[in-house]
Amino acid sequence: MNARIDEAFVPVGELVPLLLPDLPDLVDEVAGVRSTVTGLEIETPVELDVVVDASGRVVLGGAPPLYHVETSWLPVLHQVRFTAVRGEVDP
Amino acid sequence: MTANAAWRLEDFVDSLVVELDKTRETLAVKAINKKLTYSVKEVALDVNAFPTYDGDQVRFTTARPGEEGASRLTIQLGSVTDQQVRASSKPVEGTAPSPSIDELDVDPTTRSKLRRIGVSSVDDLQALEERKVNLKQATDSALDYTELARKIRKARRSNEAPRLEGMSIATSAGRPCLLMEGRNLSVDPTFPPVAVLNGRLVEVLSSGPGHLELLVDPEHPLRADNEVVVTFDPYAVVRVNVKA
Repeated sequence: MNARIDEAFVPVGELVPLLLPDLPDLVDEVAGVRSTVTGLEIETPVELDVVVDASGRVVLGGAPPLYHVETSWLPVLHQVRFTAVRGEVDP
Repeated sequence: MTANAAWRLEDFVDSLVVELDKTRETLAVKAINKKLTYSVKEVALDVNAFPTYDGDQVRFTTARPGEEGASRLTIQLGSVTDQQVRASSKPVEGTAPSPSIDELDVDPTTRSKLRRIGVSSVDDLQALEERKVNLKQATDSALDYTELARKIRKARRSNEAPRLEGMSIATSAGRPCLLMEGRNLSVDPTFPPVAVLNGRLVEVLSSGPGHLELLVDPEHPLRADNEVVVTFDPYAVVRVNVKA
């Protein structure tokens, strides 16, 4: 049976694209200037669900902090950092 | 709720790498619709976990709410192009890849002890031998190079197992012979192949990696069904049935 991550989490592979904002170019038509975001460095706390199946395979689920309330048992927050570079792809 | 099972670092990193591959695939698909897209160059993940050592391996348990004193494990992944990987890991021309010690026929304890001293491939082991490292002392066990060398040769041979691709009846200097053709047949120059045809030892006229020529005794010609057993070397024995 495959190990499944908790339903509150998404696979880490899906989490990273979700953390990338889809920023439009900043355009000043009067001045004739256009600014483009060329790269992002993101560092954010995440909650992780690390599940190990019977064969030892690890399945990673992640989510930004799920609750913004102070509880008796605070969740463990891990940290993810990544650098993304924006570029034009060939058609 | 799922149990908080302990994991090995290599399994964790494997999973992380697979997930990042999926990330790149997702971004590549997104790029089909959007001309501008992101590519992820570097990723680092800090994981709060408790390391444990069971006497054999170090495993980690992810910290849970309320648990304090966890270690922070930072895993940092860079990116590299396929071409760079090929350029930096190009094998030396004419050499077969070194078998992993996982392929060696040794008990798990020995394998674990070898791994613990940084031996992960047969080449690593041979490098230690060349430096005259005393394996018995280094691993605190009854390992010796002679026994391991035999297992190494066996592992190498299983990586280059003989492959028979065809057999035919031919003549050599007017004498009938059986020609075996294939790959990796006779590869050990120190060991002349030995062949038995229908239970009788036959002369090997010539041999090489691609062929083997067996003399058929005219007094014992081929029958309708023939059994040929060839020992190419101590680690490669082939038995075939030939219909004449």
